[in-house]
Amino acid sequence: MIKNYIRVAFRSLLKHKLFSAINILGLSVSMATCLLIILLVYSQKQMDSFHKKHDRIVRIISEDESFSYASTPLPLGKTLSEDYPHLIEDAVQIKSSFVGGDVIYGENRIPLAGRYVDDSFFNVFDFNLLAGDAATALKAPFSIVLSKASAEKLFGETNALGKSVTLNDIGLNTMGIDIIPTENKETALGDFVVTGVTDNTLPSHIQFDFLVSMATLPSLVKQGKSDAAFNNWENYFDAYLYLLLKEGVSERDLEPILNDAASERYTRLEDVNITFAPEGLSQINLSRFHQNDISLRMPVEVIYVLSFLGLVVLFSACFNYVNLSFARSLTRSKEIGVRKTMGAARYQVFIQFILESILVGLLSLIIAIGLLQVLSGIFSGLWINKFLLLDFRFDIALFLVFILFSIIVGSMAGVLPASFLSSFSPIKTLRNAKGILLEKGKGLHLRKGLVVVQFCASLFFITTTLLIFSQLNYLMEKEYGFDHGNVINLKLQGVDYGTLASELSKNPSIQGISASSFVPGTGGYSGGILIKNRRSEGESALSSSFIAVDQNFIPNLKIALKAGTNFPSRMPKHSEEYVILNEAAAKLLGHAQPKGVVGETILIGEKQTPVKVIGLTANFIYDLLAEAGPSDPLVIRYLPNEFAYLNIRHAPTISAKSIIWFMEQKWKALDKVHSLKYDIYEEQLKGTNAIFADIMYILGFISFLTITISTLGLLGIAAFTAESKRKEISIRKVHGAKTKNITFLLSKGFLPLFIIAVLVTVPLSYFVNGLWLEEFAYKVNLSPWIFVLGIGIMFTTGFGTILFQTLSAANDNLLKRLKEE
Amino acid sequence: MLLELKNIFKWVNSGGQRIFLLKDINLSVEEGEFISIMGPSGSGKSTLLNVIGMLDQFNEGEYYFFDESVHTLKEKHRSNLYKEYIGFVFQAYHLLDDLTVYENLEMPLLYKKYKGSERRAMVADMLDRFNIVGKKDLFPAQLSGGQQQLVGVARALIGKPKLILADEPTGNLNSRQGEEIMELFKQLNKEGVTIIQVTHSEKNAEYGSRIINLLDGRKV
Repeated sequence: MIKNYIRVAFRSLLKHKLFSAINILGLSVSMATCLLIILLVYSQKQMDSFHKKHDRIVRIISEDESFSYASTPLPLGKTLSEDYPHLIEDAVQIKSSFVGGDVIYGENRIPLAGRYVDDSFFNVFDFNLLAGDAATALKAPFSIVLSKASAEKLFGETNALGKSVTLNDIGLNTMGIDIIPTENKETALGDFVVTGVTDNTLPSHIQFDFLVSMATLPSLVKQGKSDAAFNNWENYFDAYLYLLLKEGVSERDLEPILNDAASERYTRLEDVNITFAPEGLSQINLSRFHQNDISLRMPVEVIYVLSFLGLVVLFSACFNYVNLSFARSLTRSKEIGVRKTMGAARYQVFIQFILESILVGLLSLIIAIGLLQVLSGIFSGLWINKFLLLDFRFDIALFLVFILFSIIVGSMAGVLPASFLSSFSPIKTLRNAKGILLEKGKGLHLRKGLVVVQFCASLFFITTTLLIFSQLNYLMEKEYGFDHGNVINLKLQGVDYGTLASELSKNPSIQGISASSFVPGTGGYSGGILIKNRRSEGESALSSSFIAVDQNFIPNLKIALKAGTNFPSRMPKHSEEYVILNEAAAKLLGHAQPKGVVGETILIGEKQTPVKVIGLTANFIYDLLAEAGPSDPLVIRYLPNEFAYLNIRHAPTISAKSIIWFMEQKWKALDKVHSLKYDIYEEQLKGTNAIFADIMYILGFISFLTITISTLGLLGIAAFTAESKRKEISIRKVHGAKTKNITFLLSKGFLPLFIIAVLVTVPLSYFVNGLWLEEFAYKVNLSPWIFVLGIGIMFTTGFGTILFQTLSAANDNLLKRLKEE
Repeated sequence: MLLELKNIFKWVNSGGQRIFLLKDINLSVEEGEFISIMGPSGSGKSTLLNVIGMLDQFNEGEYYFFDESVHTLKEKHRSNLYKEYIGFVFQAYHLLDDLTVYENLEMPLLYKKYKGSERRAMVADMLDRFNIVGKKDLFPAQLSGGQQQLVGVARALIGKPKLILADEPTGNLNSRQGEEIMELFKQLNKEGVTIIQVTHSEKNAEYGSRIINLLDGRKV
């Protein structure tokens, strides 16, 4: 029976090529989007599943009123495992601070990043230890376990075990991000013995080039090379705690003891008030965003947003299916009547149509999997994913999920048409040889409703996309307030800036050299500082960001000086006497006329150091564009110890390449160890804004799909409307109707639907888009032109499609049609 | 007795008026009869046939089929009843265009819980009997009208019904093809199948053992 149904379904699909093509095309592109999200979730879920005890491992997180943190205080692990041995089999802590820098073995000097971990690390986690003893590898102080890749870099083919390496720490991070600053000064941690080599290539949220035994820390503290404290309950940024639970113990069993542990420590404290919560290992990669997480991952919120977008597209495609099936019921009604007369029960007809739609779903899946290959490649190529742990692997289980998904989609699309079609009574369908007419009844209302919903979705996406494009465009064209052309930023990496600057200034093409603690506009940050003046006396201190720069910074980057002077060329070496403020900081201090702040003495920092304001700059953008606002205060300070970058301005006539070549030469003379790290400012800013491009890509893609799918749907509906009115068209033409009359007759039905959609969507889109736009300090106006343009685009594509169909129907050979009737 | 209609009324309301489609129809049909229903257009012939075939409802009266009172049966039982005992032949053949001759014949069996092997045997039997084995893989559009109606009759017979209801079975055929179909009916009737047909043609009506004339929904 099923075989028969499938055969009939195939023939019917082949016979109605336009219908099938629209459905399969629409469903497959929308399914591909959803498959990508499934793949994303699945790969996140699969992460860390290689640990044999993965279902018993939980991570403990800290929560305060507003945030959750992936980290916990360092003493928590020991306390829990000692106090509750009946629940907890083992515990491992990973220090949250990075340890990393050059690892040196003989001639080889490789920058690597790692973590301090407890000796139980390999007992809890199953990273494959290629060499060394899991039980003892991380016990002794100054033990280091290298990843396979790091061991190969350092030792090549030779056996690493037992060899001694030197580790110079600059706090290099495992996340591969430049934005997180490394320290300027190297700390020579000493010699470490390689006690193991591990293969950590399986996907895990714990990333490292090497692991150092936690037992090393007390020795480092003694030598003054670390400030780690093992009994500080107030610092909940300190460590990531993973517990291995006893068999049969659930996360819920942990909750009371976690509550006890927290209330015991924090009820008496005023400024620290946190609670602890467990999080299963398989949940870690799919949980909500945590502060201070161990690795960068896609927070589940992003997956929600992507899923929502995917579902909108999917529903749009399903609507097409429903719509077209209803429209086509005209041509299927005879079949239904005959089948029922020959003894088919309603449920049998229903099953037949559901199977047909499932078949469409499965056919779409085949195309969708093909599209997925392309899509996942493009998605992985997005800028943001350079920093996320994505690991797309296909396996049988995933394919089963895909097939299940396509069956669900097929049934979802088919359930309404199938129940509608199977409800036809045979007598009505057969009495009229041409099939029953669908001019009235719930079918028609439903169809109209779905068309309206599609119009709404398209219009919403078009306007939102237009708005996002114009907002991002606005941000990208936004003047930073300084001149970033022809500037190369060089990372000092501990090299003395005075020496390097004087070496570089020997090149006449270099017009200016300045130093700063971070590069404005690239997401770098030196921290906040409390500021206070006489006006704000008594009130609590105000807070501002600060940047440390030298005397050349303001003229070199051509930042507008509104009043006062720049730092003098000879600055006092040891104490801080002068600062420069931006206008926002002056306003913050209560100067309605910012210029009035010049000459005033203000108090800065915890210690309330008095400093004199000698200058006032215009507000330039120092933060990331999306974060920045016109009222962000900034204190510009002269702090040579904080300098981390040189900003080198070269003559516009000279290519950046030749300057870089010159810089390489000078750099090699000063630092034989590290390689030169530089960025061309223009490109650096573009790179920083790459996230905007990502958002544009994703949204542009989604709205393109929605518009395409709903246009396809319209095409189908218009085709079938024309089809069902063939006789009417012919009669009208016989009586002298012109093509344009016919076209108007056929198209006018869509106009009210379009107007309803506009009336519903414009306010909705205005409201929703207003919400996110509010988050930006620099934003475009929600101009009505965006909506006019959106409606225009919709109108053109929609009615262009309808017109195309109806024109061809109106020009049809009329005699042929009448003869058939 | 195969079936009995007692005082059947059927009407529709149109513009505040009650228009009778069937008016006080009494009819009893014995097994083995061949009845022709005649009358002008709109006299209610097809409506009566549809009521007998249980495809259409009536408003008043009693209908017994093999002593089952159809008027009190639920929809589901009614359809089980006609599924088992009645075969339909239509003027426009109503073969499914997407199915081959073979599949068209097999289709009613799909809804009757026959095993695959049984279905194959029954269809082969029917193809043989109607001499259309060579056409089994053709689609209806590839057949002449007469051949299509032949398949239509074969399809009606395949479930071994007690009663065949034919609504102007020769209406779309030329006279030679029509004669062939009528001869076939006569043959089937001899073999014991009860037949009720609606027809316009006096000549075709002559094939039957009894003629019922309708005018404006009333037996005359």
